[in-house]
Amino acid sequence: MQTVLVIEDEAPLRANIVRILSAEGYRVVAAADGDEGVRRVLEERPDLVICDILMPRLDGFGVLAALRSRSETAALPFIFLTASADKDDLARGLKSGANEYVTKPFKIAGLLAAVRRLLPPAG
Amino acid sequence: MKTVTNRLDPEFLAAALNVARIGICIVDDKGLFLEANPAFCELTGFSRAELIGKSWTLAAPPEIAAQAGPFLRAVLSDSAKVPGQWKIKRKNGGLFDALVSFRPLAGEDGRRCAVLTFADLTVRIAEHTERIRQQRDVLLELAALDKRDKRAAFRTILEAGARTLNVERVSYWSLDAGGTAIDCEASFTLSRGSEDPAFVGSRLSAADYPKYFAAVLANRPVVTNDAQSDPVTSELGDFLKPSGITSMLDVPVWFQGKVIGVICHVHVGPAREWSGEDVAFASSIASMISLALEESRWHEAMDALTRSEEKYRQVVENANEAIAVVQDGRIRYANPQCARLSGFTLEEVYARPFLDFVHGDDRPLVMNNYMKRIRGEQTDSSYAFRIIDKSGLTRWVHINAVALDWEGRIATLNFLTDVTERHELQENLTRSLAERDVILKTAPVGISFASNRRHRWVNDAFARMLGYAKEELMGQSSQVHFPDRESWEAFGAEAYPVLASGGTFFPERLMKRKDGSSFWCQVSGNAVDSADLGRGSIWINVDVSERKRAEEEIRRALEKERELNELKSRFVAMTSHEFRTPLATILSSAELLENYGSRLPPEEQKDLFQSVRAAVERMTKMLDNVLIIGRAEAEMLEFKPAPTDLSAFCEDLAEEMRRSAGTAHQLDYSYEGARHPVNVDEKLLRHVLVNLISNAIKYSPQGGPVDFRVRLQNGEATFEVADHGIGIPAEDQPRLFETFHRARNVGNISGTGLGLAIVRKSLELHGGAIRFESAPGRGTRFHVAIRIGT
Repeated sequence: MQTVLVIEDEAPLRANIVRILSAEGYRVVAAADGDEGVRRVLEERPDLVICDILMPRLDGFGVLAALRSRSETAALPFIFLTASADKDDLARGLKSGANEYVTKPFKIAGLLAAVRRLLPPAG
Repeated sequence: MKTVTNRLDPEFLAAALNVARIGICIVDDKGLFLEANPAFCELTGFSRAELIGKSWTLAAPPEIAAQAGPFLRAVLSDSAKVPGQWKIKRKNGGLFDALVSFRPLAGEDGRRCAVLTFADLTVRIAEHTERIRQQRDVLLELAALDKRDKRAAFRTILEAGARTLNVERVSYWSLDAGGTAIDCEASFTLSRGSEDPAFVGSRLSAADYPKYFAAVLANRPVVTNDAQSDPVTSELGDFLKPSGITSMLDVPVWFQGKVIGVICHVHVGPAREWSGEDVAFASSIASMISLALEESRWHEAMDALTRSEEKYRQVVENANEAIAVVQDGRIRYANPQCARLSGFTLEEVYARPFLDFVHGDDRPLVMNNYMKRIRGEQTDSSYAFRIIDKSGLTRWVHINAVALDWEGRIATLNFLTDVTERHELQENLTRSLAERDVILKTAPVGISFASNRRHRWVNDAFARMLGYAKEELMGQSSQVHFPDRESWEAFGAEAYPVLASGGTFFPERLMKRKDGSSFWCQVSGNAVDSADLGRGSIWINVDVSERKRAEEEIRRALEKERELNELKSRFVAMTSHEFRTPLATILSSAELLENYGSRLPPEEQKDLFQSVRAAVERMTKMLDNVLIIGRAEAEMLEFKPAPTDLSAFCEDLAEEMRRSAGTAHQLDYSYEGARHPVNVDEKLLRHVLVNLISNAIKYSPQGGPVDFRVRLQNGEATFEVADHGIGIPAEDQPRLFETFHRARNVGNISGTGLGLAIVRKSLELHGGAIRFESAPGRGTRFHVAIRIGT
């Protein structure tokens, strides 16, 4: 079973993402902010990280940078979840090493498609 | 001497006859020579023998011979009719003049006869004639003498006089003004053959020689044959004796009707008997002296006149101006400049009436002035008019004219100057001055001409700009309109190098008006002559306060717009962010419900619906905030106070905030004071408190306590909200309550920047005050106070 780590500070949305991924058969670990997120990644070693950008204290970019700077997580699949429709932000996001981004509000199908692109279904 | 009687003494007679140097003869009553002495024979050229017994008519001139008979009878009767001078005929037929005297006698035989004596006058006459002739020649020479040189003339005249009269000395003495003395001005001493310097300059005073002077001043010749003893001249004895002067002949010298001197002839040696001729000649000499005086004076005058005439002529001929004399309408005299001025030759100038040369339009004026002047009436003597020169061109001429007498009749003397160029220049100048004046007067810019940092001249606009009268600025240092000495000195230090390099100095400077107020001035300065700054500089000054104000306003407006745009973009971005998350919640919840709803436990379903509602609420709140601030800024919010239980209201609010805050924060709430109802607008108060409290929570992301204290006291309700969060940086504090403003340290904390703006507006409407303290990293405390009425 593949593990996905979700970092999102907005509780209801976080809960929904957990629900969506769980229903798809992923094991989901959730974190409410960037620092917690990084910690949980290092602890759980998930197969994919979905991370909100705009968070207080350590934001999404910070998380990405933290992960990419570590050899063990340098190649970890990473999806930005962003409320910004700004092209520059998106470009920046991809440049900094994220693999995908999903803009809010998202259709469940869209989110799942991005996940599947990075995590081919096991088996 | 023995008297001669009628009886002839033969011895005496014989002796006398032989010896006598005069011719004597005796003639009988028949006219026959009885006797003839040797002298007579010599005179007549006849021998005695040829005469005796012959008729006397042998030696008589034709005119007497013709009348021989009656003549003889006259002689024999001793008639007075017989002349004393006859011509005698010589043997050779020649005639000579003889002085005759005769006496009838009774002869031996009792017959009548006559003794006749003849003295040859010829020599005497000749001598006399010669002398007369000589004198006349001398006088003629003297008359012809060029007497311009008075001194030389005197010498010549006096010498001539001395030689001719054969006197030792002739001198000219001039009578002094009072007639009290005579001074010797010139003399000639024969024995020296020249002037005797000892004499010239001598003075004889009337006081010393009264008689002499009286005689001289009687204006008649003083003729003294024996000067030493003559009563008139004897007083000069001291003077005469040493020199051996015996005879004196003084004649007065007349000049312009008065006796002005005396010619003094002195004879040395045996006394001399002055003859009438001598006196006459001396008088002539005196006349010559007069003439010399006259002539030299005349020559002096003529010289002076000629010299001055020459001077005047030089002046007129060489004058820069054209000078012309106009008489009877014609030019009677024109100097060479007239030709130059008019281009005509002098002949042409003289040939035509003067008006011919005057420009047609000006003829009436010129004619009028001329006629008036001729008539002696008052008229312009200095004016300008046009002439047409030889080439047909018009030239302006300035005339100075005056009437004068020219050769006995009225004429005008005219000085003319060509002022064509000057006239044109003047017209140009007047025109450009007029233009300049108009420009300077109407120029809306201040113009000044300054040198050595002083205003020499300013126009009205400049003076007005500074609030001074023009006169107050003229001559003033420009420092007077600079804010202070430093700025004035700095201006000079910057300006003058630029001016010296020939450039324009073009700064904007603050200038000070008379009333002390300042304004921005655009200054433009140029040196008149960059090589010589002392000649001054021209300054154009434009009050650009308005422009600066406008610029400033525009700048601020642009700045504000930029900020606004920035804020709007941020707000839009922020809002879109803010909305996207709740929307994401709604969408995901809806999809979950849709796709998996049936499989979800009812609890979860409830949660999902709730999350939708919560998200919608959140978005609504945000929209409300925007609407509120919109309404507040559009002044559409209303203040509607109503009696409220403040304590209950605040407690409910605290509870609400606590619930939405979550666990990270602890909201400490307290209420102090009366609990009776107070008049507040709950809606506005809610805006204030909700925003402050949610800010306190939001901006202390680490969590921690949030204080909410309420107090009601002395008619005033105070609310205090404090946190220990990120605080507000000093730079953002002044702008805290501005719409859309967010402090620089908010980082990723979401916010619209509207909250505090809403707080401020609400308090404005409600009537209340807000202040805060904050330190970055330490936290923020807000105090709100509103007056409560009951």
